[in-house]
Amino acid sequence: MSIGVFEAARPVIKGLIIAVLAIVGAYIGHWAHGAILNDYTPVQPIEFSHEVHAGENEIPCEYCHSWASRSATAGVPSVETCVGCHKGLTEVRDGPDVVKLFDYWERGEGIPWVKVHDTPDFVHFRHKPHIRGGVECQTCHGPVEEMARVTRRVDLNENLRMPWCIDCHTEEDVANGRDCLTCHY
Amino acid sequence: MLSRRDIFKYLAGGGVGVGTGLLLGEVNQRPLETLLSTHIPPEDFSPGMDTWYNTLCRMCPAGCGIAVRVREGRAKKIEGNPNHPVSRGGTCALGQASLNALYNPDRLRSPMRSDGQGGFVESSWDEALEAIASRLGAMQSAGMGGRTWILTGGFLSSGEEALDKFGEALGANILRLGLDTPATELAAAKAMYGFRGLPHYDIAKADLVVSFGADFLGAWRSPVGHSKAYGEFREGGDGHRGYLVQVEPRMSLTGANADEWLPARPGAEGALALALAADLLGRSSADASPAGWEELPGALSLEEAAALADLPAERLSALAERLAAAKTPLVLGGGAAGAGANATETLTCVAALNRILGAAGTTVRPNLAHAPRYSALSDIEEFVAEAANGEVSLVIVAGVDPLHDLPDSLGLRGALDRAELVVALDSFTSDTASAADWILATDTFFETWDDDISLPGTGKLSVTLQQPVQKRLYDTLSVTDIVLRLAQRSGGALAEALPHEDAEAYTRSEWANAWQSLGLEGDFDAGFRQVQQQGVWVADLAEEMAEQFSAEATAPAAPSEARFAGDASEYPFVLHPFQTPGLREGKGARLPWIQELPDPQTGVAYGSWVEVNPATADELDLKDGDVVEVSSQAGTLTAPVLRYPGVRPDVIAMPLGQGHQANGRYAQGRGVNPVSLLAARSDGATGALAWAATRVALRKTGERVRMTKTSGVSRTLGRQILGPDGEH
Repeated sequence: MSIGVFEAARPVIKGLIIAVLAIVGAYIGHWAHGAILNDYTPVQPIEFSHEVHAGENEIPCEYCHSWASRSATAGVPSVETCVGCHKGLTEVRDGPDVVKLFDYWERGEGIPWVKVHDTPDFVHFRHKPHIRGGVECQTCHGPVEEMARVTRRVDLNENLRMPWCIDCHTEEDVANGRDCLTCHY
Repeated sequence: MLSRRDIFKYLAGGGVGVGTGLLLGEVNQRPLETLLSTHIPPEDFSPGMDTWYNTLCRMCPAGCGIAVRVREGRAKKIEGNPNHPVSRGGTCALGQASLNALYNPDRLRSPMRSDGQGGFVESSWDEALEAIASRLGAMQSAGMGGRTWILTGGFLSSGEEALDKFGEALGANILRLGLDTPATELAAAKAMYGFRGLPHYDIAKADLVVSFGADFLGAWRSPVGHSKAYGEFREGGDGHRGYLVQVEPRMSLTGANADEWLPARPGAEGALALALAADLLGRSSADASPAGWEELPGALSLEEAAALADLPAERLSALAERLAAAKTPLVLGGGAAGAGANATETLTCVAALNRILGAAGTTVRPNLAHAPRYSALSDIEEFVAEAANGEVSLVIVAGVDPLHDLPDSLGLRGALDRAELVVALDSFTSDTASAADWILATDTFFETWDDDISLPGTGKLSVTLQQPVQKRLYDTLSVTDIVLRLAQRSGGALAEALPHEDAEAYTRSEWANAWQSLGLEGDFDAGFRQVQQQGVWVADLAEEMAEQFSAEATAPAAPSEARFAGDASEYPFVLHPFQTPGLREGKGARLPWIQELPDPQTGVAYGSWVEVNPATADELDLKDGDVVEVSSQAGTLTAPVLRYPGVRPDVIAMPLGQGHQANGRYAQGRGVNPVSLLAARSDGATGALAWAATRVALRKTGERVRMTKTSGVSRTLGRQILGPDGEH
């Protein structure tokens, strides 16, 4: 009799096992997406190469991102800053992306760069104390000077997640570095 | 046993799961955000860093100085300017919420032209200004400037002065409109202090404040400035604790803070003040009395006054004792007490009480001898009559919303319909603007230049500078800019009177002129830069600038009996419209933060209600949320009942500021407007609108609604918090 019941329930149990496997699989898939496959490389309105500017030509980061050591945000350079140099660089004036840059300049518009690195709205990350404390830009942003198109690399900083921040704050013995209100206010 | 087939099934299930997870991760990414670079940044631009600009709040005529936090060229937060003598670092809810006007989704983004069917289409400044200026030019050359009417408010600003000059050069008529204007108080100050202006009331210095109807902590004159002063009045540096008595038919925020609340019958305040004055006069010899009066003819005895005001006589004699014993007393009058048919007489008696107490010159002091002139009801009637005769060619409405703020019974709507061309200068499609032919989209005060002499005064000469804290968000202009451009395009006397390029040039030239006429030393440009940093210019010129109080004044006559529109048998209740600290007369309704803000006394947000005393409510079988029909001679409306013990049983109180027919999504169609119930009654002496002189009747409709209320019940549910007896 009991075997009969088990036999009758068999397809149901099989279905349940498949459902459980599917759910576990979904978790694994979602985790894999975040942890392994999530290098983020958006296409920018202008194909600006940090490899050329910061790498080959060795322009210091803060030449363009000039507020990094002074403000919460590093800032993107104004169109005027780009044009300031490129006016004199006649040999690359005809490059398709330089032409785009001058189009923005003539239209009097800013360039809508796509954010690559971002913290959630409930986290207040401030560049100033990090740069003044001697943290290299590359520690968080990766080897930008080797990137033709900027990538947020997942192997580097777990996508800027909190444990990674806390590890560094602990190792470096940052004052109030483990206080919630240092970042969440 | 697992069969081969089962293993495949399980693998397929897991695989589909992993795939779904990956897809979910891909779909579920944070939205793409952009970092817009600047084109050519201003020199002081630093992203991520705050810049604070001191400027002026224009949400009410109090004229508080504010400091605005700006990041990346956008205004983010408002705080009080600590340098400012009125606000002293404080702000009110309305000021805080004024950012909602700047970023409001329903703000007008360009000039709009009426399509003739109640809608509006976008236009350009060229088209709009040309259409209006061509008419102005023609009227000017034909000498028909008198067919223009300018409807505006009562600010004391350079911008208003530009409008004045414009009207003068054109020969136009100017109406200064508003519901709760200080017109009656100005008349009383003239009669009793011989002073052409609003006095400065020094609440901080007083040891006893008796306020007849003035909700000075909630919505009267300058709640921010008064709150600061009130703090010192209660806990001053010299250790005294002031005593506050509030006389009003409906408990306001100030009444709730008072030591004593005296719910006097509406309209009896003047007789009450005069009886107190006569009693005090009887206690001192005539030459010892600071007023120099021997007697006050027509004054009631304290018992008679108590009977008239429906107050216990012993409380009134206790108040008289207190007044006689006070060292630095102060009596205030305003609100509904300054808005009855006998309002000027009432406030004159209040001022006479100040004279007898010796407060005139100590706690009541001269301010700037400069006050706006408000239009009387008869001026409005003249406008309506001329419009009816087809003699109004152009109406310019600047910064006021008379179709909402003033009673329908004045006939303004019909007058605007009959005028040939109506031009509204507004940031929103306000109730009045929606009746216009053109709406010229104006800046918010964050985007342009102006200044203001604050109405409450500070006992010193202080002028607050308004400067843009950010670039214009849309294709808008300030009222001053529009006036200047219209003048330039119209040519003739108009162009000569207003030759300035824009609001900045105009404001600067006004300041430069004042600099010169005051004989100030030093370089003007450097001085003006300093004012831009400080946000306000303060000088101790009160002695030189202000007229002094006259040494003598005629003793006041007994105030006439309070008369109300409507017969007491048909309309048994007196309507007491009141301002809430957020909505005020209606300027707050378009701001979502203000709509969300509960009224401090009742906890109701987002709507209108009718306050009825529980005893009256029991008689009429009304519970909280019962919808009643409130009707007067002038109109009818429906709103839910709120049983409120702080209102006299023969008075019905209703909040002002809601019931807009337009004015953006947050204001439109929300609540009802008690102003529509008001009859066209005026104060006998000044002709100012008597907005607290209408009687109403209540009728239960049988409908019920749930009000949005933050407080559950107002009773203590037997916890005996307020003493052992009775159910509170």
